[in-house]
Amino acid sequence: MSAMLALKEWLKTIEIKKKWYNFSRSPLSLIGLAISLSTIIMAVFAPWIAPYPQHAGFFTDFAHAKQPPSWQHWFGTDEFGRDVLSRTIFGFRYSLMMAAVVLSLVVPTGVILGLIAGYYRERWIGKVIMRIADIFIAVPPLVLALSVCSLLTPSAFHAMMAVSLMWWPWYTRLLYNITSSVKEEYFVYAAKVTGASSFHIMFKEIFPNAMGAVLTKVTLDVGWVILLGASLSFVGLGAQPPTPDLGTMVADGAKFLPDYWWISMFPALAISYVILGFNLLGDGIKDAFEG
Amino acid sequence: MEDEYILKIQNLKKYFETPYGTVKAVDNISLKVRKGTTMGLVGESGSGKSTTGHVVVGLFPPTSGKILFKDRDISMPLEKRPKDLKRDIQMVFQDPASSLNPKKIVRDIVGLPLKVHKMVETREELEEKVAKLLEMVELPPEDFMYRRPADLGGGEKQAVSIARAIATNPSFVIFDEPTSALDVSIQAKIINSILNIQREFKLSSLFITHDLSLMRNISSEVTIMYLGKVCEIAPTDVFFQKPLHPYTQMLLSSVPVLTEEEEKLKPKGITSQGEIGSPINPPSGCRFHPRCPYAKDICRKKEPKLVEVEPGHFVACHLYSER
Amino acid sequence: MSKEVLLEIKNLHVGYKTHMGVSHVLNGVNLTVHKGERVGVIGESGSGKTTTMKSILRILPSNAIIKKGEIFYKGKNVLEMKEDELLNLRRKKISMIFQDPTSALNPLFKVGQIMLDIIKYSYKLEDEEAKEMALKALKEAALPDPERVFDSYPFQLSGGMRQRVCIALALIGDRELIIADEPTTNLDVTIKAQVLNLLTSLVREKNVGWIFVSQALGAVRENVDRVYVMYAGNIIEWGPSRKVFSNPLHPYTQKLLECVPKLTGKEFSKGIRGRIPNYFKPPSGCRFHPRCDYVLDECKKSVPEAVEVEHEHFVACNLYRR
Repeated sequence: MSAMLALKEWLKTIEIKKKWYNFSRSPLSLIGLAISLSTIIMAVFAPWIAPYPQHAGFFTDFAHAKQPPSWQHWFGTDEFGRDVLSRTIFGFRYSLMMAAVVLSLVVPTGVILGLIAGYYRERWIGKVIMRIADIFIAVPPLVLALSVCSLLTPSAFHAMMAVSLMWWPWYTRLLYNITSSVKEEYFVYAAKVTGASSFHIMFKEIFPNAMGAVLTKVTLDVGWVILLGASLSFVGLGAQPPTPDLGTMVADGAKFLPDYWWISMFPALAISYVILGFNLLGDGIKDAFEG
Repeated sequence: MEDEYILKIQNLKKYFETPYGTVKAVDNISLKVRKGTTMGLVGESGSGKSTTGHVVVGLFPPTSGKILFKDRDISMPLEKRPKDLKRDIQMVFQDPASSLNPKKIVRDIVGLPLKVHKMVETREELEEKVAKLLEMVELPPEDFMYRRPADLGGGEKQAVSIARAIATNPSFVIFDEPTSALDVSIQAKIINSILNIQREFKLSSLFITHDLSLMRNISSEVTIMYLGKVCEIAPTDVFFQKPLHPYTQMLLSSVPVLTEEEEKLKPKGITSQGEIGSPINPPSGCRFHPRCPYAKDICRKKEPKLVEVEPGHFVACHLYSER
Repeated sequence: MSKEVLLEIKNLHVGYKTHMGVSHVLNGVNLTVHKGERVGVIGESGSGKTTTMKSILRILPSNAIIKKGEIFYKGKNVLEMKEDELLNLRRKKISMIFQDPTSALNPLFKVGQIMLDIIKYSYKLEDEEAKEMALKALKEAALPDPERVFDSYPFQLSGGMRQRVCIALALIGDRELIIADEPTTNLDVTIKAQVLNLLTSLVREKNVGWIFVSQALGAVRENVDRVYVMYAGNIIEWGPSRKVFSNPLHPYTQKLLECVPKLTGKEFSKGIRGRIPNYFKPPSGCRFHPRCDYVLDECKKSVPEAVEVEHEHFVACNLYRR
């Protein structure tokens, strides 16, 4: 038996090795991994990494306001004299938290609805789910999010809700497509013939085959959710000052363009940095699962 | 004695609606499988042989007609079929690549029917039973138990499929071209496992194939299908000595063979011609008439009935019925 | 019979780079095709048949490495040809018929369009002449109503007809060598017979060389002059087709032939024990030795050299040395 277990472990490592080989073949995936990891580390350890952690919240030091990048303040300071670098690092924290909250709401909902819709494609339940999803998909995301946010009081929480509301149908559609094709595979037939429950077939047979695609999409979406969140903040419908939200920072700093470019430029670059990182990582994950 | 038949298919029809029209995949066929024997179901694409298997196992409910299994009607949709029948009728599918879930390990694939039918309680029990099943299909359990389908060859995948099909100790298994995607040396191994299992379990089966030579080695009776119809049913030995239907003769003459001895079994004076018709718009009368060298007027108009020419040897052809 | 050599493969070694290292697939393949000769290559999947064929036209995937060997086409090494020579070879001299006629024809274009493009590109002809050539080729491929086929999309044709179109395409112009890689595997039994009869008679009529690669041993036996048996990247036995099939010499060939189910339905083989070797760490010496019932000590040490056991019937096996 122990030989068997050793073999089991070895086979697992083979599996991982193959995925890693496919992933690491492209240097872009590795860059994506590095960028994503760096943002996550900055987000988690923000209070220790940021040079002036207290600058993240209410803090004023008008004596040092709007200073250009220097050795004390690499990214300069804003109109209240706060360190832009510190606020950007804390900004990652808020952005990633937003992505995490939105995706943890959206992914399970979308996935479950998509599995049901795909599995019961011919029945009314499948059709109803997909038509509802279509309605949400038909409305441009920013417009939908904007209208929801403007109905409610602007806050980070409401922004997350609004983004979630328009995001789930994409997962439903993804899972619907995968389920529709996987359910015609013979192993699903075999499970049906032997009398396995629909629940088992959906979650234990079909879902594992969608994992790669879901993981890829989740990774890519981290970037897009952050962008949408930042866009909402930018127009003032998201997180409110003094929260160090990247979108809010860009909006606030935009008032001082072009003379004090660093106040908005660095948070904007930070947004691009996160999105780039997660996009490259997502492509890499796709290669790993498909290769 | 009616009891000697484990499966009786009576006037079975299965039509599929498609955007191009109604596909008459199986059009009014009847056949019976004796207990403990193997019925070979032979035909080319569009003959409806796989559809017949799928309907029997319950993947699609029949359009009309009756299927009796151990004298119980099983023509209902799969959800309504009693669980003990699902345990008793199993199927091995054609395509090894799609037969096994790529994300699961062999233990869980073979163990699924055991779990569904609550035949094991603990994980140890499961592994023990799966190990036994793997041994039966000649896969050393210590090598294969934890592997994923991606690490298996085509033959090994099919062996796993067979292990899964016999896990619940069924009395009837449908083999749908289980070796058509395999190399001959691997096919030989798989067929040997199947033969052994059939003996050991006193299994009755329906063996679907397009390969007459293979069918010769595995079944005791043959049913030949063409475009959703049965053309000929005969005991295997009789069939090879005296193939009656012109289509059967054409099929047999088209088989490439390796020895002079086999050459002699191939009917002379008939060569393959024409295209297989469409099951959406099948030819009138006898469906084989556009390709048949002996076609007469009546063949275009009237559909021939399946008649018993000799005891146990049925043929649907005007050459033999309206004499 | 004058025996002008058309194609000669000498000691070809090809491998593939993968995440697990390099797989050493072809291990010294030697193969000759004479002018107008019909040659069969048999072997199981993974034995390197397709790799060998793809090497001839140099259409191997990008991770393939040709380590050693030469492929002479009319005395010129294909592996050293420049791009334009190679194109000329592919356009006018050698053609290939693949297993899957569905993916071989672009579904977006009509058959006629596909044919015209190929003809015009290869022979620099005007529309009219090209069309005439295409229709003639379709007619030769025994397609009923060539005009209609010419105006059809591939999906409007049956599998057998599509493969006939591929055959017509392969035989256009003055081809000298046709490589058919499992041309009938996906077809129905009766259609298979028709297509093979067509291919054989066309090849004979036009006196072109033909390499017929297949796992269908019976079909090869009935349609070729000489046959090569491949196992794990080696040619292990070759000779006149009738001789190889009636008197197989190599233990692998013997076993392989036993495995084919017979219409006479007598004894049924138990298969060959073991499986095709792992190409990352292929067995030393004769690659069949781990599965061979007659294995000798020297089989493990060195690759056996070919011996001519009877006239033109060669085998690479130590059992037949001296």
